Order: sequence, then C-alpha cells, then structure tokens
Amino acid sequence: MKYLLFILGCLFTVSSYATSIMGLDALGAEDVSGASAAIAGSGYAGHAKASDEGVSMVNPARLAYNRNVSFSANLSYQMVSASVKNGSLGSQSISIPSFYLAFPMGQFGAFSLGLWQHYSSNYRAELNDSLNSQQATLEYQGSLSEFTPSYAIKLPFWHRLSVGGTAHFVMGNNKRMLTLGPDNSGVSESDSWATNNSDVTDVVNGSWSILNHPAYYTVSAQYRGKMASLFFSYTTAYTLVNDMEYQLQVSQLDTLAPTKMSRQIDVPMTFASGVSYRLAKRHFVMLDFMWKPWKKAIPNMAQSWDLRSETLVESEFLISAGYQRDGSTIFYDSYMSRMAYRAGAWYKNGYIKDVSEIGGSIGLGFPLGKRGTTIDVALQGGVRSSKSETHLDETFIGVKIGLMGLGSWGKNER
Amino acid sequence: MKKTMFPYFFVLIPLLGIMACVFDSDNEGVSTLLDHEGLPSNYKVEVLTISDIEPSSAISHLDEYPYSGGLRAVLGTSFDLNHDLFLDIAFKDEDFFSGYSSDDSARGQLEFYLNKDFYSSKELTYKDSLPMKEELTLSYSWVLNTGSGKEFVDSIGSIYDTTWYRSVNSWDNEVFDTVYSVKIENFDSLVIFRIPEALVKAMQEVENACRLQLKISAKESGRLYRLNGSLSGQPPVLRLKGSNGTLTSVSPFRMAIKSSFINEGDYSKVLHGGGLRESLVIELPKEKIMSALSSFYGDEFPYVEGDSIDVRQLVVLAEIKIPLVEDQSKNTLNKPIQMVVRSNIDSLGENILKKEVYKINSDLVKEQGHPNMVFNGSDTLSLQITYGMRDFINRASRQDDFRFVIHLGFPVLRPNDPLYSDYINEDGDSIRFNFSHFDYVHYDLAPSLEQSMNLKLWLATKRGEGK
Repeated sequence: MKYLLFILGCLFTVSSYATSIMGLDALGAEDVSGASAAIAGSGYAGHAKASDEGVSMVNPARLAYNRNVSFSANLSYQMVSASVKNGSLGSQSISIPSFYLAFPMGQFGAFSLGLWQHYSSNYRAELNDSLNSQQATLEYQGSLSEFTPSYAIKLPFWHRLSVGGTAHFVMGNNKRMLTLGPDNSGVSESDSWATNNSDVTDVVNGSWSILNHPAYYTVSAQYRGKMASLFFSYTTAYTLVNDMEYQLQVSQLDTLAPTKMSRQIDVPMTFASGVSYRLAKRHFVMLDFMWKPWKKAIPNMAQSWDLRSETLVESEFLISAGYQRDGSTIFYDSYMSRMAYRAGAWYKNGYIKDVSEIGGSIGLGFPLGKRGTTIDVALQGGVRSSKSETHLDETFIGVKIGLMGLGSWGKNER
Repeated sequence: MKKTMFPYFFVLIPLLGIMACVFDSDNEGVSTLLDHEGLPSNYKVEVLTISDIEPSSAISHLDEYPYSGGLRAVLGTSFDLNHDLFLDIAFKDEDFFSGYSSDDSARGQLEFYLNKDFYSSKELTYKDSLPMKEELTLSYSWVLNTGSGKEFVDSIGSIYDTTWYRSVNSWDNEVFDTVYSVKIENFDSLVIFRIPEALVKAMQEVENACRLQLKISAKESGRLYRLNGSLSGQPPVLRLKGSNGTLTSVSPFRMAIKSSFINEGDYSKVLHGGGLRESLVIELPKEKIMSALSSFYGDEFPYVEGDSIDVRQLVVLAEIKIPLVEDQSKNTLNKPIQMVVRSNIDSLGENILKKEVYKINSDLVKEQGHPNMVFNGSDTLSLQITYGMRDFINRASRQDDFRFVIHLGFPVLRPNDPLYSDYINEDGDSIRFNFSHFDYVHYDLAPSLEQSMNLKLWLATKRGEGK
C-alpha cells in the first residue's frame, strides 16, 4: 500500500497537460463512463452491476438500487506519448474529471447530482530552437463539463426493474493559444530590428452550450436479477454550440478587438447496454457496449494557417469486458479479503475518423473503516492508433483514483 | 542500505526517470506535431512598404484655455504666441489696511523668483540665457473684491481651480500699462514689477480683507520669462508698503497661464511645443492603404465577413516617414525635440487616443540619431504608429481614414544615445537624456506635409501557404 501511495505521490509531482493529442481542435479527448475510477478499473465495463453503490452516467436507472447516501470524487492522471518520426512527443495531465452525490429515498426512488468533465482538451508544448528560428508555445485548455442531476426509481410492482433519467446541463470553456517568435529570414537585415523579440500570440477563447435547449437527456432501464443484471440506455442527440472569440495579440495587455465566431457540433444519440453476471459469490463478469453514430464532421476551432477546417468523424462504439471480485463486507475478514479486485479490457472506435483505441486496466478497491468508504485505484494502458496519416498514434498510461464515501442519512443506527 | 530502501533507489526512481523521458517532448517532436497539424513554428515576418501617401488632411489645434501655472509659470512671448499670467490672491490684514488706506506714499510690488533649474542649466546656451536686460511694458488688469473676516478669505479658497480657469478665460477688464527696466544678472535675482498706481489706490479702499485677481501681460516683450509658480517652493509675493515702514506680504494661492496667438494668421500646421495643449492631427487615406494590403495578400480589404473584425494578420510594427523641410521653423534652446505620437484605437468599444511606444533601431540611432526628432539636422522624420495601424487594419471595415496625432515633447540632450532614457554611467554620473524643460518653438510642418510620405508595415499573418 505504502509503495503504491509513494508511486502515485511521485507521479503527481510531475504536472503538465494532455489526455490525448488527437482532436484537440474538435472536442478533445472523451472521458467515457462518467470518469469513475471503479468503472475504469474493470475496463469501463460494469454499468449493469447494480450491487455497486454510486452513480453511472450511462445507466442512471442503477441509482435506484443504491442503499446509502454516497459521495464520490475521481482524480485522473494520464500520460500520453505520441508516435513521431523524429524526436519524442509526450505529455502528462492531472484532472478531477467528476464527482457525484447520491441520495437514496427509499420507496420514492433515488436522486443524485454530479459534475462530469465529458471532453477535455488540455495540452501544452514548447519549441525553442533558435538555430532554426523556431520559437513556439502551443497550449490548449478545454473542458466541456456537464452538471448532471439524475433520478431513478424501482418499479413499485416489480422491484427487479428500475428506470431512471439524467439531464446533462453542458457548461465549460475552451482555449487555444499559440505564441510564435519572428522569422526574419524573409526581410532584409536592415529591417529585422523591428520584429526582434516581438512574440505574437494567436488566441481563441470559447464557451460551450447546447443549441435551443438547456440540456440533453439520458434515460435507462435496469433489470437486477439474482445472477445477471442488465440495462439499456438511450441518450438524446443534441447540438453543441461553441461561441468563440479569436485574435492575434502581442500580449495580454496589448490586444485588439476580437472577432467572434460560433461553431455547431451535432452530437448524435447514444445507445448503451450492458450485462453483469455473477459467476460465484462476489465474483462478477461484465460486458458493456456503447454506440454513437456520428455523421457530421466537426468544425475545428477558429481556423488559420494550414490547420484543417474540420475533424472527420465516424460511428463511435465502445466494447468493454471486465471482471470484478467484490470485497468482503465483514469487517473482521483480512484486509486483502475486504479489498475489491478488478480487471478489464476495451476496444473503442473513437469519434475521430479512423482512430481506434485498445486498452486494458486493472483496479483495486481499498476499504477504509467500517462504513464502506473505499478508495478505488485503476491503472490503465493502451494504444490509440490511426489508420490514416491525419493523426499521430498514441500510447497512453493512466491512473484514476476515486474516493467513495458512504453515509447513512435518514437511517437509524443499529 | 536498508532493505526497504532498495525498491526506492533501484526500481521506482529509474522507473520514474524512464517515464519522464517517454512522456516528455523535445524540440523535434513538437516541431513535427506543429507541422503535422498545419501550425507554424514561428511567424514569417513580411514587410510591406506603401509609398507616395499624401495625407488626406492635416490640421493643428492650440487650446487657448488657461492652464495651471502652479509649478512653472511663463510670462512674455515666444514667436507667435503670447503667454499671460493670472494670479489669485486673497488675504486679511485689518491692522495693515487701517494705516495703508490713508498713506499718500503707499506703494506695492510683485516679486517673482526665476525658474532656477532652467536658468542655471549648464547643458544649454540659448537666446534667453542670463544676464537679461530689456525695457519691459507690462499690462496689468485686475478684479478686486473686498470683504471681511476669515470666512471671506476661506470662501475664496473653496472655489475650484477649474471654475477659476473658466472665469479668467473670459477676462475682460480695464488694462493699465506700466514700463519697467528689467535687468537680471543671475538666477538668484528677483524679478520685481511695481504694481500700477491705480491698483495701489484700489487696494487702499480695502478695510479688512480682499480678493485680488490679477492679470499680467508682457505682449511687447521679445522674450519669455520662466518663473516659479504659486505651488513651487518659492512662490511670487505681492508686497504692499506704507511710508512709515508698514508692510504686508502675501503669495497667490493659485496661478494660471493663458497662451494665445499674438496675431491672427494661418497656424494650421504649426506646432509650438512648450507642453502646450496642442496637437497636429494627420489623416492618411484609407483607400491607399487598403489597396496596397489587398495587392500584397491577394484578398479583400477591408474585410467585411462575419462581425467584420479582421484578425487575419497583425501589424507588428508600423513606421511612417515624413520628409522634413525645416527652413521656416525656429527654436530657442538649439536642441532636437522629440515628436510624440498618439493614435486613435479601440478600447472596449470606445475610441481612445493611445500613446505610441517607440521601438529603438540601435544601429540607426548610433549612426544618425533617433529618427523621431525634429531640429536634428535630418531630412526625414520617422514616426512609429504601430498601435494605430494595428487597430486600423483590425477594424478596417469600420474605420474612416487612418488618423494619428503628433505633438512636440521635450528637448533631447543626447540624440545619438540608443538608451533613450536617463541612466547612470560607469563612472557613477547621472546621464540625462531629455532636458526637463520644454522649448517654446515655431515648427511649421506645412512644407513637410506637402511632400508624400512612406508607410512601412512589418506584418505577421495567420494565412497559410496559400495566404
């Protein structure tokens, strides 16, 4: 345990940006499944597993089976290395992609509130090669977050079935800054004095909203059987609006009137399903599937230079399979026995055309105290590869840590 | 080594080192990424010269409204300008006035201190260097209000300066001329002007307290007296004397100067310096600049798509070169003078005048001196108008002709010093770049503005390979 904490402590002292270098000018990297560390540990499979406390963004109906008031917060640390012919290109990022509060209300169902960073585009790179007059700093800072109130209820006449829904209120900002030094090779020597030490920055600042509507919605139904549980969910299509201001500037205090533009991104509906099967006592296998048929290419952030004007898309799907051994709930069992163990793998066809991702993960759940509070840790790794030359292949390693706190509000102490 | 330390030193630290290398970027990697994404790794500087620009308009304006003479005051003339002095004096001295009112030999005088810092300067030799001697005709006019008690004097002090400036701007009172022989040997000399007999008689009517607003004009003088003002350490003193040795002395609590043309004439392209509120507004034709940019980039100017703000390019530096013809211009201190430039720019939707920053071309300065100065023996004046031109092209579709404003700044003591500021040299001596007092000149830009100008733009663009 202490070795693990030491490793994590060391990792988080290295701070930078990037969950992926792909699609930074489109939506950025998608943090699927509500960015839960527990789900990430089993390869993004397990949304149908109704015995777990907490909130699932894919399957809000599962919330109806929560027994305790719960709070969860997740921390994510990602390292990405892109494949380039010359040199090395990589980056690291740390973020808090989600947190949730869930309130079971007995026969009145359950209610939850959450904040989920669905897409992020964080990246920073510096180039300082005075020999070749190359001086550039590229920085992306983007977060498309969702405020997510959910409600779920077990059917009064058949408690094995629950239904639930989530409203996703979109918010967040995005920013791209490219600071460039001068290349005076094209001007006479007598004219070069004028631009020496004059850096120029291209700045794009944007904010996210949904067109003509406050939110988009997910509805789902969950069946909880003795051996198997499954769910189906449907998420409505919506149009994202990214209002942007962009300009060239000399410094933050020396700016011009910015021009304004807006881009619209048609996000298709999402269908998701999953099954969880109990192999033996506390041993589960899980299989999840998600499908999002993207059709319209995504216009990129304010275009300029030779940037591509749009990011081509394809049908997005995620197939994930996982295993989980739940920890014992008996406090007097050994600590190892009370720990949860997870493993999983996934294949994802991302929203970016010709880009697919294969990954695997292992996860552990560390119980804290008697009340069921746990720390979930997931270690992930994989590759994102592109069939075309439009995007650079990536290798990634990630760590997700989640804290799940349980309370017993409204219940009498035994 | 303890057993528990083993994994730290031989496993974790090397592992972290490897990870830091694998997930870090180097110059080649970032360069590849930028190239792959269609982003540049620097901005290519492009230079566009627009020749033969004739200004569409150029007109100067001198604001003749009174301004503060609190620290430094001037009296007299400078070429085509006359500078009048106003003093506001209020005091109470019942004992003095009881004797003064019946004194047949009563008299009074105004005593000024010279601006010592100016006259003692070792850096300059000029026409008005000391010693000075002339027959000076002074014109006095005044408004005398009487009252009583401390409240009366306090009530005068509560009048705002701006209110007083407005009242003296429309000054129209009877004038009394007096001729003096002025002789000033050194800067420690007091400049003493006797006040006219009519004013003495008026002061003899005061019983308790009075307010004296006094205007002094030296329109006939061929020179400019630089005096200390009411807020300086050595303010002027009005000294009233009785024959029996009684005396009262009082200093004005505020002073103002009004600078105005001596004769009517065409001064529409003349600058006078001196820190006066004057400027010359020059407009360059929009069409000429837009068509040159259009030819250069091969696309439309002004840009009217979307919200019509054009951010496809940025002016990194802009410089306008104006041919100088100085044979009709005159100065007094025989030093080059900086030309200060301001441009109209947008600031959060409002048009403001922003002072341009001057970027130094060190090689040029060492050879020829700073190019933004007049009276420097140069045949060209180079002014940087970067902020203005940047804003003009950014909002080209919303702008009329390009407009910038110039006025004269301080005289320059070291026109070939690339540092362009005061500094302490290796010997520990303070080196002054500017002279800290303005020159009062007659700088006629009319013959210069009849010549065509050249505008040079250093540009950064967001256009790609195909522009």
